Amino acid sequence: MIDLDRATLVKMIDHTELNAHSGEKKIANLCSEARSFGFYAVCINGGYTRYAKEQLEGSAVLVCTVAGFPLGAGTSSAKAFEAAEAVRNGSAEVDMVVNVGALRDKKHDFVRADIRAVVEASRPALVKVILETCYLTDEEIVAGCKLAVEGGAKFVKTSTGFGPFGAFPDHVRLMRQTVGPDIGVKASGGIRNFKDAWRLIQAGASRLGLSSSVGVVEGLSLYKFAPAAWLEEEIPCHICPARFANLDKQPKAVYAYYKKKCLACPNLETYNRYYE
Amino acid sequence: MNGWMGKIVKLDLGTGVQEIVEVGDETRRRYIGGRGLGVKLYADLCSAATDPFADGNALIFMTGPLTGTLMTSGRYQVVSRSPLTGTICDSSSGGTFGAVLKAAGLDGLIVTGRAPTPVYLSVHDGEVDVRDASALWGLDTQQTQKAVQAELSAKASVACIGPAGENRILFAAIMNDKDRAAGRGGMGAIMGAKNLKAIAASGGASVAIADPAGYKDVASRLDRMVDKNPVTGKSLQVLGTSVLVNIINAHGMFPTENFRRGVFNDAEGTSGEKIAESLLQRQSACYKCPIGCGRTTRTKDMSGEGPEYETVWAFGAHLGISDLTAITEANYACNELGLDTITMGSTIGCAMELCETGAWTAGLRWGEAGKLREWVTDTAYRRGIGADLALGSKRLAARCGRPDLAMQVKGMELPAYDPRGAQGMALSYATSNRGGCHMRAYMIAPEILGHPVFLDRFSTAGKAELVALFQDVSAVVDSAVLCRFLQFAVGISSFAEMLRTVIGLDFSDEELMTTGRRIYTLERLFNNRAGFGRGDDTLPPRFFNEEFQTGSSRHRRVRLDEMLDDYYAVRGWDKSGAPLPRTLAELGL
Amino acid sequence: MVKFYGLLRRHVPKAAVEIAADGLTVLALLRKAEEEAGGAFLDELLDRERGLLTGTIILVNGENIRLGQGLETRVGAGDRVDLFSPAGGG
Repeated sequence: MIDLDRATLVKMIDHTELNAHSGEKKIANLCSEARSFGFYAVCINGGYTRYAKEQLEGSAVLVCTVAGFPLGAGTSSAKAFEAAEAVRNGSAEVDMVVNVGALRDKKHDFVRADIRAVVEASRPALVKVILETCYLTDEEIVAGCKLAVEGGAKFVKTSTGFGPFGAFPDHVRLMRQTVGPDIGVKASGGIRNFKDAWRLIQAGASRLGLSSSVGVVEGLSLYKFAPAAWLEEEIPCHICPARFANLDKQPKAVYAYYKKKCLACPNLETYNRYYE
Repeated sequence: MNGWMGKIVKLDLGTGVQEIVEVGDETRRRYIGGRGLGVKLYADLCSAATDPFADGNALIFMTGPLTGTLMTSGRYQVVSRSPLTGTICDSSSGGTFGAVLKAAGLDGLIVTGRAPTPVYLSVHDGEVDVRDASALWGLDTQQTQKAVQAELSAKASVACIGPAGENRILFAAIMNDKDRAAGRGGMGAIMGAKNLKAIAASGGASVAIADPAGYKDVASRLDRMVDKNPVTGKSLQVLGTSVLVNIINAHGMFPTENFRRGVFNDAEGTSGEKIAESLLQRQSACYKCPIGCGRTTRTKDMSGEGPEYETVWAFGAHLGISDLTAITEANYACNELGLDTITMGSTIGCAMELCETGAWTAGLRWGEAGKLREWVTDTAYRRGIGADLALGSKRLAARCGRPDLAMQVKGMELPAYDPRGAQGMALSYATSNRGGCHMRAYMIAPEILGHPVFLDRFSTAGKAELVALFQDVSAVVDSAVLCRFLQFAVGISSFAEMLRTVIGLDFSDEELMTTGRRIYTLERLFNNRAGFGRGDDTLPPRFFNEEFQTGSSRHRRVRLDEMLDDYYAVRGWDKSGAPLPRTLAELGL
Repeated sequence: MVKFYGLLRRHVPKAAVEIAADGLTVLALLRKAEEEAGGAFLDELLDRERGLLTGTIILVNGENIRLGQGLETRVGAGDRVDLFSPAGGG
């Protein structure tokens, strides 16, 4: 039996709608669902912060706005401005994207300062740093986490949801190990059902960014008393980021990093049918 | 009182005496309503020695606290001891009757005794009137409903029997709201034995809701979940349940010619897709139901409701018949006469095999579509071979010296899924409390349809736990009372929330699961006392000894021995299938 | 041979279509089938990330691909593929 109740699960969810093409009706619907289910926050683009705040008037649901999203490659002052404006408009949390290029270049001081700028500009709101794990090696993920904490962020987050892949238990585990128990770990991107969500929670996620929030919550209902067989580990490759490495969509070095990992994996013998 | 109306009437048709049955808060909480409360009250009033046709037998019509509130809440349950199987039996029917019975002021009605001459009941404002039905006796179910409405009110909802019930056919159904059926187990025969032709209800009482704001939330959420879900939001509406024909056939487990084969050559011709493009006039829905799985159809000469999946199979592949018109018209006949289509079709299939093997000389042959309607009608009136078919497959096959050819468990005929194609389904059939029923634990959902997860249908691992889980959840839904199809869209926590907002009692998910388990175990206890045990938790020999040679379920046999002991262990029963003392203590039984 | 059932038939002109499949994965085959059968049915079977929807049934020679390599299962010439979008009943 899964020892998680619905009340706890809903408070772990940022109900998300970040598509470029989403109109007001979608945001209104998002807010109404969040109210109805009792989600922790709605996660939206800056242009809708004020609207969402109005829609959520009188409820306990928070507004979370993204900044420097989805690329993270803008200037620090632009990101800071976005964050400050979002907070003025009613946001309680800001999800910023780290400067991925600088992180990969090992310009750590720059990355830290970039994060700090957003943290300062966002006070009293809390900041989450999106690492965009699909473009990073494990070493870079660890570095990113440390810099986020040093910069004053309260959460590290896996993905924007717009990259080649999203959250994986391995990455979440690594992030949790790095930041320890007091910093939040938000898993986002590609979480489609309760099973996916449960794996990430078990790996250490304390918040989930979902657009399929309703399905995930209902899924708890279906899995709660389910026999262990239902939640069995899939073929490990199915939930391993290395399998989703994509030369078209990722930097060559990152792709090569994952492929190397794959070839050195002890599971390769058993599951090698996945590879040419 | 929130949810429940707080009134259950017991009426003795022999003496005419009526009394209010008091149900304490504790009992309501522990059994909820519908099937649960019905089974509890039945077990208190009668015993495992009660003859289903005896005057002393009780026939219970029960609604639940959610009846008349949320979507699909027009359903009701009929509980008694089945004359077909001898087990405890609850039969479920859709439509509106449940909601109207409640609007008429009652949670439930218990009928005992036997009226000296045919009567029908009229329920209104919490009162039950006994009225003369001599002019109705002999009418079919459609005529009966119209006649009662003409006498009482066009708005009355009527549950009634037809000639089959009057003639105490062991698988006679109770029909309501035109073509909805409490089909399995022969509840209609009990009504006939009591000389009770119909029950009509009408009224305007509303159900009190404990938390109106919370209820509104839950209702709109349910709306959204049901609409979003591809099964409840699209598939069932457009194609009805017969969409399963091609699916089950492609899996090589569409029982053909009395379960001798698993692939039917002309499955396509009897499929939901075919119905949609040929006979379908429009979909139909029960009380407050957005799913609308019902099919309003017409053939060249007739019209009516259905057929749905089970019927399309029972009169189709099971008999080697691919004539959709003949199948549909036989379905109409069952609706009019008040007969369970599954048992009817299955018995005919058994008869065909008995004739083929020479065990019977009645001359029935596979594929004889032209005679279907005639056989059905003759069964209702016990005419000609109808008198033999009226025995049901178990008794007929036994009489012909080939009991192995009856595809039944505990006397109830198996429905449209061959268990060699899904091991979990095999266990489900074997351990169902009312006999060969697919609804107690619908293992087809995970094993074939992949809902809510996909499981390997040929594996026996983990199936015991799952069957028990599904049996318990289903018992809850049957006690609420809501439609099982909601289970494609929402899970136990949602049902707990529905009950909380309507009744105002603090049901947790765990408590609800325990309630389901309690109901299931009480049914089992009753069956144990009636003489059922491990030996009856089995399947006909065909499934252990014969294999299909073609189709994707070929070369498979049921491996019940790998699952049954596990199942008993999960249930907390001993090796003979009897609940252990600690299990009874845990459940307060 | 790819066969369409149920609601999928609303999207394609013919219930069965012959596709040259030798060695293609099921996912690639579905994409090709969409082109050749002339109807957009993928959304009935797959989610936005092109994973199988809960309830989608795809059989290759009668066996469910979820028991094989899922959408990566390879289809050979002469194989029969049955496609069912999520459905249910009783």
